[in-house]
Amino acid sequence: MFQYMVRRLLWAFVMIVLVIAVVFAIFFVLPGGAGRREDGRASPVAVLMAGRNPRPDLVADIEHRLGLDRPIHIQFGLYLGRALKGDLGYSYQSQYDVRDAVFRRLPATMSLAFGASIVWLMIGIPLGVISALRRRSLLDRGSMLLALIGVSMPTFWLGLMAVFFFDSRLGVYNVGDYAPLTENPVQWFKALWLPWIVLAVVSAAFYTRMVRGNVLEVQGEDYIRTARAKGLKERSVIRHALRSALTPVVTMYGLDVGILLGGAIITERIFAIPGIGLLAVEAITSSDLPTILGVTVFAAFFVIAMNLLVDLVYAALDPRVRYS
Amino acid sequence: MRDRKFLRLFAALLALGLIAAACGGGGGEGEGRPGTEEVSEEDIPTGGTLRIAGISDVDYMDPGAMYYTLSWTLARGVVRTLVTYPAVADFEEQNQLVPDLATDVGQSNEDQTQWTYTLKDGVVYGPALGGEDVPGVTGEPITSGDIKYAIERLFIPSVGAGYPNYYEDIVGVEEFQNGDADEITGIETPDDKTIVFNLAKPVGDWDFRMAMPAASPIPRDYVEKFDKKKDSDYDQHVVASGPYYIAEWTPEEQITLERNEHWDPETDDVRKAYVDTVDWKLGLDNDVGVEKILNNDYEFGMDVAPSGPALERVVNTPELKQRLINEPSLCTRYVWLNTTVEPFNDPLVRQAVNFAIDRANIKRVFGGPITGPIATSVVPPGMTGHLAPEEYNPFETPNMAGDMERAKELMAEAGYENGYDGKVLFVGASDPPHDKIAETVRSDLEELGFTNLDVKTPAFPNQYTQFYSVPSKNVGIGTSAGWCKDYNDAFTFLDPLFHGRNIRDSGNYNYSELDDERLNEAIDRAAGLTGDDRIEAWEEANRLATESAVWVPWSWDNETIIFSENLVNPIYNTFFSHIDWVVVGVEQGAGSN
Repeated sequence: MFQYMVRRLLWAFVMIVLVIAVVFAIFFVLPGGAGRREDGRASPVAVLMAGRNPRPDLVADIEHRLGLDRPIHIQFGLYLGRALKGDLGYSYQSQYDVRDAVFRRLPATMSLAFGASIVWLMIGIPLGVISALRRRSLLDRGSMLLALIGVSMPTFWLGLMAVFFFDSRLGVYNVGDYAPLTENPVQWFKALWLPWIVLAVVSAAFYTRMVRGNVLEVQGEDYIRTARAKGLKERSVIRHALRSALTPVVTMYGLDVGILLGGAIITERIFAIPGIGLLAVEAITSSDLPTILGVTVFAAFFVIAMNLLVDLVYAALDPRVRYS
Repeated sequence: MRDRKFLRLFAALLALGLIAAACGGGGGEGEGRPGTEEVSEEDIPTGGTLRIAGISDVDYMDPGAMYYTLSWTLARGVVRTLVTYPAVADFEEQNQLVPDLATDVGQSNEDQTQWTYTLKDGVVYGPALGGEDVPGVTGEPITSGDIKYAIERLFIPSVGAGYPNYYEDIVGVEEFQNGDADEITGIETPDDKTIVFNLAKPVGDWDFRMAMPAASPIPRDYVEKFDKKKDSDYDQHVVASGPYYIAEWTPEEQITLERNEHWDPETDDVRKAYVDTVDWKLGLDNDVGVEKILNNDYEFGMDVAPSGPALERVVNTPELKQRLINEPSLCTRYVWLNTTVEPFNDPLVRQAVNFAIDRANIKRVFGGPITGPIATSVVPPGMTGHLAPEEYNPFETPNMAGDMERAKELMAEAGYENGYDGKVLFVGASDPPHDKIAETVRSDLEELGFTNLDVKTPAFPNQYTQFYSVPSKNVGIGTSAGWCKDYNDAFTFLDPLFHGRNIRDSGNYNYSELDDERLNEAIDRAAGLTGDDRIEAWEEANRLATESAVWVPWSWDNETIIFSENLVNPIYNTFFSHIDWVVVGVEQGAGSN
């Protein structure tokens, strides 16, 4: 187990370095990159920051200040060195500390991601199991129809519709009222219940279908037939079946939450929740490279960390999985 | 100046062709246009909160660094300048600057190389950002030395000034910037009330430059320590001089302004500051923001603006249309031709292209009349030097839809009767509606006889950074260029975009690389004049620039702003292209949730 964990952690580290390298290359090495200096010309980001009609020496000053005038491998080495120590640099745009900005935004994104994921599990798993157990019943067909509608609705549309009805028409929700859990739990809940539902609808539909499929598949397995044959109560049979039918759900759940922690851009935008996704949008529109890099590193970290966690939990749930 | 709404508007404008007819021209001399009529003072409610819906944050809070239109809109109520734009509805009158911190507008010597201002009595600083009373600053008088430091720090790299170029004409700037001098010797402060700017060459629009946020007073003793850091963090400590101070700034989330009790209304003839608090919510989705303004949950949108179906609904609903401001944003969009690339080095070919291009069709694919009128010359309406289309339209064609016959005659005259089959690099942008604009221009050029166009359409705004601003790319024709004024004088258009001295290897804005001696002289001459002479001189330079035919201007953009039923006296100000919120009132409790 220890060896397995060390190996996985090393791989996680390598993956993060690779992600940083790829993002860095996009902005600093590839032609057209905002940080790249080409044929002795200033980098676009420095020109952009120098404002209107700048004197060439001002552009040079800015490049020097940002370190863009140094060889690219030195820039990368310095960035990587700092990033591994947890220093993600300062925003080009507003001079804030990128790590602080991400940490400040993290609680909002975590509230959104975990809340929504609980909602979709609470809907997806029971509906999926019941549909599988009552196959071809009205309940099964009804929930599959709902699932089909759910997966077909894009979040941006559903979100806007939800705001339109619950905010503008019914007045039971108010966009832009988010407050941190630690400051005002009531306000926090009031601002999040609708985005949780919106974000959960698509995933819940997906999980319903997945759970139903898995349960049906497991029910045809030999050990279930054996369990039934030896006269085990149906409830016990189902308990056995669920254990292996739900392990893939753990994998999916881990990955989905990991991705959401990197920022639910559309949902955060529509409901004005100040999370990491909104930070990313702002950074991209203003060519704020340190923030873009910082958010990407964090997003990659979450996906890799959740992956690792899932593997460990998976191994604990399913004895067939071996560590080597 | 950078306008964040610009980018967002492109995406949805295509859908607007249908509503174009319903909206009329906008910006014309119509009666009762929202945003252009003042309400008498006794009808404006006082007190309460002005709620603003926003998407993007300010670029900087530091007035020396801020460059976005929305930041300047905020600055209107937080900092004061020596002179400023009056809060009146008439656009021409808006350009007649009035005293603000100074007792009078700038007094210049005969050749406009020396400008003098005297500060009013009773003008003092308010709290710093967050409401902190700074000892020795808050409640203390604003001095001429503070104005001097405001200008000096624009040349300190840590500040990241947005437009130091407008102050480079002061004597001694270079020495100060190089570190050879501790101060800008050309700025004299004989006493705490008087400031004299000595300029290396005549500058007739100095008052306009002194009305920009960068020229607002900065208390040196307090701010120097922030500016000495690698990157100045005065952003977090901005000291108010206007009627409001910044009580809260949570980046990308919220900006709150509260009344600055140290501001004396007796010293301020412009800002009426009727509301007590400004509550500016950031990070909203555009469509959600629009819906909430229409629902009277916010008083107006900062960069939230209706587009697509929402705009269609507003335009087609009479009650809502009364809450839509559609006025000039002082921006021109154009197709440009490179004078260093064959065959555009020949003025006749450039004229031919000016006649060939169907500007009406470009306007149509861009979104129709609500996006502003079709441009017929370089300088947009609302600025000095503007020429109305009915007075001046050198490349006039029926409905501005192009005249291919005339164009082909000019091509033949230039020796290209069979067209031009050499390779020409043609750069547009891939995002809608820029892709459609590139397509309509390409089809016109091919009809004119250009048979070998090398078309490139990078994602917006990479056409600027990768192609237009880089002369070595040898772009022949660019179809997605636009420029907005920095202040309401034609200098901010004609000098950076047309003067030969501004051609640069990178960060170049004179994309056409035009270096025309007559035009250079006309620009230099106009720049040193004042009053009516200046207006006439800019009109002449505008004619020369337009007739050089290096541009095919096709849009003078309009700004689109919606406001709530509760907002009283929302007059539009052309300087920051938004509602002049320092004179609005808010009806409390009516219609909002």
